[in-house]
Amino acid sequence: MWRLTVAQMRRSIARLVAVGIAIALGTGFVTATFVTTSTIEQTALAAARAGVGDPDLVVQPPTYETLDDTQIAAIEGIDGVAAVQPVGSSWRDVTAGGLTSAVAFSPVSPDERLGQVTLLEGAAPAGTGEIALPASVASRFGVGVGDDVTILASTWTGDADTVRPSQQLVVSGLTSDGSGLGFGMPLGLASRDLLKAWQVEDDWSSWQGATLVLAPGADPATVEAAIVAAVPDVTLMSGEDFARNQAAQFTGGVSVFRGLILAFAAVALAVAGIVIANTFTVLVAQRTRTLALLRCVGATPRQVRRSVRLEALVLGIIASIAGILLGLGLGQAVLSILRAVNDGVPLPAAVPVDGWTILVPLVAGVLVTVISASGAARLATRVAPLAALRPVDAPAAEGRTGRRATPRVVTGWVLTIGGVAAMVGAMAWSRANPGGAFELALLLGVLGGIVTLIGVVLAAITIVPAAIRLLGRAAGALGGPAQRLAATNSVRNPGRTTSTATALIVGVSLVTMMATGATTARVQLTQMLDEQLAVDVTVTAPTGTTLTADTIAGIQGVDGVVDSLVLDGTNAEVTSDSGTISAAVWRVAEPGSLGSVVRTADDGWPREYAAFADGWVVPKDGSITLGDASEVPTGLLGGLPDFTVLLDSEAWGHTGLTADTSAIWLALAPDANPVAVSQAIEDVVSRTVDAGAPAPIVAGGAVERAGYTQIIDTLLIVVVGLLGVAVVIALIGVANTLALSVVERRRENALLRALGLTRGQLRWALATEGVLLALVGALVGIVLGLAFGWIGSSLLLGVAGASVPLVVPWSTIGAVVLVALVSGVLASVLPARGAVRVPPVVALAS
Amino acid sequence: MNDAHVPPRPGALPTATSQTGTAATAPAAGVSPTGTPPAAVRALDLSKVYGTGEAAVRALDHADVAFGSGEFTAIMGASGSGKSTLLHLLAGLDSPTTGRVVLGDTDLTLLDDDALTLLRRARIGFVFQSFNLLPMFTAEQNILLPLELAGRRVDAATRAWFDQLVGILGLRDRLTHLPSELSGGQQQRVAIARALLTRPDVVFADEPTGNLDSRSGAEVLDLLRTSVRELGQTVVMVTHDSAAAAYADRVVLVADGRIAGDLRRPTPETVQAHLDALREAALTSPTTAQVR
Repeated sequence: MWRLTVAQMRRSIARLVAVGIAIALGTGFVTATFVTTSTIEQTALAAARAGVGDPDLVVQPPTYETLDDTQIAAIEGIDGVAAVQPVGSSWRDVTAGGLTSAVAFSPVSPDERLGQVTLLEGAAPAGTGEIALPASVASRFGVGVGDDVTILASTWTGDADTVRPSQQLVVSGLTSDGSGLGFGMPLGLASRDLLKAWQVEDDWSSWQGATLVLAPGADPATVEAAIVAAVPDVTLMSGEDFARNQAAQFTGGVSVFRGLILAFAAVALAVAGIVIANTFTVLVAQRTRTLALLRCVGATPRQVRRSVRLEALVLGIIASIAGILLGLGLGQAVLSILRAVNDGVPLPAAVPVDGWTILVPLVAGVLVTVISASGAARLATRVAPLAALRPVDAPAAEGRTGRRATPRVVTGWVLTIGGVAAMVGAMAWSRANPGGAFELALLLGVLGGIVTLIGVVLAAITIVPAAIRLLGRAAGALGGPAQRLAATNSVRNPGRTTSTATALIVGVSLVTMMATGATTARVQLTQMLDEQLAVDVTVTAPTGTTLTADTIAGIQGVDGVVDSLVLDGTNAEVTSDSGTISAAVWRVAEPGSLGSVVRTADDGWPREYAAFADGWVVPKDGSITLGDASEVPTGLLGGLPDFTVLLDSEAWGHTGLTADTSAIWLALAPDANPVAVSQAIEDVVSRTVDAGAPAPIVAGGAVERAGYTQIIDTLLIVVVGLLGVAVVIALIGVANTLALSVVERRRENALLRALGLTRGQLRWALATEGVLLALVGALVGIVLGLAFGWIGSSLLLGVAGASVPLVVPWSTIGAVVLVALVSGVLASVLPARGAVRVPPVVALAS
Repeated sequence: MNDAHVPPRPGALPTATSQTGTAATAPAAGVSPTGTPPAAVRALDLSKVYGTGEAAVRALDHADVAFGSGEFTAIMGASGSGKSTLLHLLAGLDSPTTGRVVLGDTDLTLLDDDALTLLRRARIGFVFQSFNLLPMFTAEQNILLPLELAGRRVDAATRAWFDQLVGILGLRDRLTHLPSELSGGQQQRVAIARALLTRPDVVFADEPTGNLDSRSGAEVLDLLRTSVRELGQTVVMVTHDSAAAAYADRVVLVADGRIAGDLRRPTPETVQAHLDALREAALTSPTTAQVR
């Protein structure tokens, strides 16, 4: 049987390669997932190791407690301890060249095995006159080794108008970014003495722990006992254990992430399964005569079945191995690029490969292939020996069937209707009981979605041919004879057409669902963020100071700032129904222009109130008392900075307060990059305010808002990309089906050519057929995906009974349709090349 | 049957014939007053070699023959004699190694694939031994296929011609049937209707009765003869059945890639006699008449 199977495979090599690519894409996907997550875990471990150095012991205080200098000194005094490095850092603002940056400084390590930070250049700081800066900060400041920088204390020592303490220090060295326990947070270095001085200044002296090395020949057990005796309640572990613990905390989410991506990989493999089942069925059909001949000369049905199974097994193994190599290669390529780009991150040189990385995709790929081919194997046993004796005849048309109520179709429709009912029920339920039984409703909705998808796949034979007929009629009416021919051809084999389109339906519906969900969430989130973070950027002078005209003009001139509102006011005690609190009270000179910077006040001064306040000051519309004014009618305005009261000029006059502070609120252009604009504003502020003077604070919702929407967009791109693999596999199926049709219709196409069909018309007919097939799969998938996406997001996002708008992700839908059109044409290119090569004379062969 | 429906045959080229007949007989009925019908299609010094070197097979060897317009000609020969190759070349389905094929006043050997395809669509009709019809189209759709391919609408005149053909061929009740629902004879009649629909210069038939029982075969041959006699159609038919050949006005015999005989007003007996003579000749000089 082996030799026969190999011979059969060799004859169908082109077909098998195409299916093999589908399998390889799926298994490559699984491999890449394992490689990526393992790399993240390894990198985290390496970073944790780098952060802790190579100590003999790590001393950790109990949770929520710290070690103080006395305890560190006690450990240092123990016999057998060679050196101790306290773990911790102090924050200081560093300024140079008019720019300011906050940097965390760690102590210089007393032993090279305890180093946490790598020096790139220069030397470690000694004494209280030197520091080492992170290279990125130094390069932003434009300073190098030997230059001076100013360090500002983190607190003011007296009243607001006194100057912030500062000191001039020399840069002794530059440290690398991205290493250490902070996982990428830049760390500077300062001597223990300097840090002690700062800790006194901050009135804070404590360490998160300590690392130590033993003196040569010291007995670890004795030292450990001595440490526990000197500093009770501490935990001792080896450096390696500590690093593993740290890494595990960081990568706890990685396994969840891996599970999620593997779910997408499973979808891709399921789609590959449909393509495999399809192709093997046709391979068996094409081999009917060979199989019949085998049966004639004595092969048992079992042998025939085993031959097909063996073929699937061989294909599965080869394709899976190819996929694994593909995944490894891809992972390695990405890793090499990342290593070249990221200096400080301790990425491994080669992708980590363990047993699972190879075993899981191999087993999954082989199983999917063999199981998917089992239907075809069964079909092969049904070939009658007599079939070998029948003349090769024209393939009979399947007739106008496809509407038969087979058990499969009935089950499909029952499941579809049941699934839709479950989803609708879940929605109604969550509407009726807002907040209650959220998980149950969601579970019911997800279950309904899965059942619906299975139902549609089963019932697709009644949907897809009808849709193709409809679309084909339109194409035929618009196009020429080639299009009409394609319209007729594409529904001749309803079974094959349907399963080809089904593979596409699954992939496209999931892509559309995710896009719909993400777009809905984005719209919802934007609304929510508008209400919570209504002001893009605020620049507030420290209490008791005002912004200079230079600062204001500079800020207004920053690229990306479209509107601004200058406010003046002071801090005051404000009393409302819910009590008295201290708030920033601002006078709004031009109430009508409030809407230009506060999103929730888009009508200007929105209502007939003398004052507006945020939710911390007034829980609802009411009145407040402040200064000399009492019972000021006040509206609640969402999204204002916390503890803010806005007054119109008249109300301000009644309060008798004196304005001693000023601020400017800004609206950014919708297309501006909020991070860059905020940075530019900070630079303006640093430039226009004297170093050492209290600096105005730059805050606002724009950066935060951009961060959230960026997370959603990034997630969407990743998920669509992952599911896109399933769509690509399905499109391979389209090309496969077209190629098979060309083989089957060899004589038919030759007849058409003899009767006057030009090569161009034949090419066009095949392209149209491919487009019809891909388009119908895409359209049905889009409809399903929209429904899933809408129902899913209203279940997920409409928790509080809020209505969720139905958002159509036009860009994704447009992209899907375009991909379907283009790939439908592309899928026909190779089959068409084969088809036009068949000489018309073939039609005459008897 | 009214000849007014038949467009004038193109006959621009001189009508000099180049028959190398061994038994020139009186012209068939319905030819031009000059005695020889104008040629609808001619093969000029036509050769076709398949393969190269040792494996080269000369299927056609400097064949010269003309087929009269409005005539029913049968091409006969043993299998491997080159008769099918001759038909393929005459119909523009294949290109010759050397020599020319002239349809009316068009030299087919000068045309590229697209031009040849358009020419087949407009000026040539086909009836094959089997697999004449597209399985997914009804009989009517199959008959109208040449117009469909040309992207032409079915106008009133064409519709009338279609109705007339369907009437003659007895297909009126079968128009909505798929090929799989038709008998072999009915399928061949659909193919004849399709071939005649565009009133082509020549209808080529390749063993049109090969797959039929004798009664259906006779019916099909009768219809082909009717299309010549009453509609003025030119028909060239390849067959190896001398009874079928006897329906033709003229029989051209092919042997060993060459024109080996030309017989007018054939009967089954005269055709058989010629075939026997050819076989005899092949047996006495096997080197020149080997069976391929």
